[in-house]
Amino acid sequence: MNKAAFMKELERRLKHIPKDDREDALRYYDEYIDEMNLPPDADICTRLGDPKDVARDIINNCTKKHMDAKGLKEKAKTLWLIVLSLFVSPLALPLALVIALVILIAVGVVIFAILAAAVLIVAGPFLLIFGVIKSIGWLISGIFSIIGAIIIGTLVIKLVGWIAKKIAGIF
Amino acid sequence: MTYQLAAPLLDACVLGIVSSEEVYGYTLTQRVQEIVDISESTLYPVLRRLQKENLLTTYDNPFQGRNRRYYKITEQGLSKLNFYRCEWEIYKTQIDKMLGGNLL
Repeated sequence: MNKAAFMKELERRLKHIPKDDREDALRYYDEYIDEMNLPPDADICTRLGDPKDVARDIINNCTKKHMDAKGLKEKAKTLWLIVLSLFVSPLALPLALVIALVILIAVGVVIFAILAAAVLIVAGPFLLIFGVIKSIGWLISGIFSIIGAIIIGTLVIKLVGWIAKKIAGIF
Repeated sequence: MTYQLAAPLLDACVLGIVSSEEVYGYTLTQRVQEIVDISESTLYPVLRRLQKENLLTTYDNPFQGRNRRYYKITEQGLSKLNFYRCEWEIYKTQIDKMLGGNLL
């Protein structure tokens, strides 16, 4: 990438950080690239790296600063910056997929358990007519579904807690 | 490079360099690179942070139609640098003890 492309990409990747942080960073790299005194269409990335990585370091540094911020608005900004830095981290995609999958499974199991319980309540009287053994079978599977949902729900909460600790640990 | 420069040590080195010579980003990076193998984008977050912690200030100095932003150490920066120097002496002594040998 030449300077114009590099700076444009860097600006794009910094568009969600506070304005003065962004402007300061862009100003620094604008100056730095000029000082490098490279030929007009030289590849900036061979020296500075990918704008994606440069932007990530800048974003992470912003977040670190905001961690000490007080007040609700500042805390909201901090939370946003944490989410942002999580998405620019190399782990982002696999982590997001895992979280999405776990949540989907947990939600699915909970819905199933609720439906199973609802079916039990409605179908109860009819099942009595159709046979005690069958209804016991339904009852047992319903209970297992609810237990399964509780277990998975607990695991999800534990996973989220662990992830939150890791995020706190990074900073 | 065998030994990596941990963050506080990098801060200390930057403060050390700026305390003896007011420099702009590019020169500072070249100076640090003479001694440690860092990437050219390593120093910006360090400089930004030191500035926000009030250990460094900046001023602009135009040069050949463009601007150079120079970094300068503050009083607080000098205190911190002294602290880092003491810590480094202690650390250096401990490492030397562990490595053994006769180092002058």
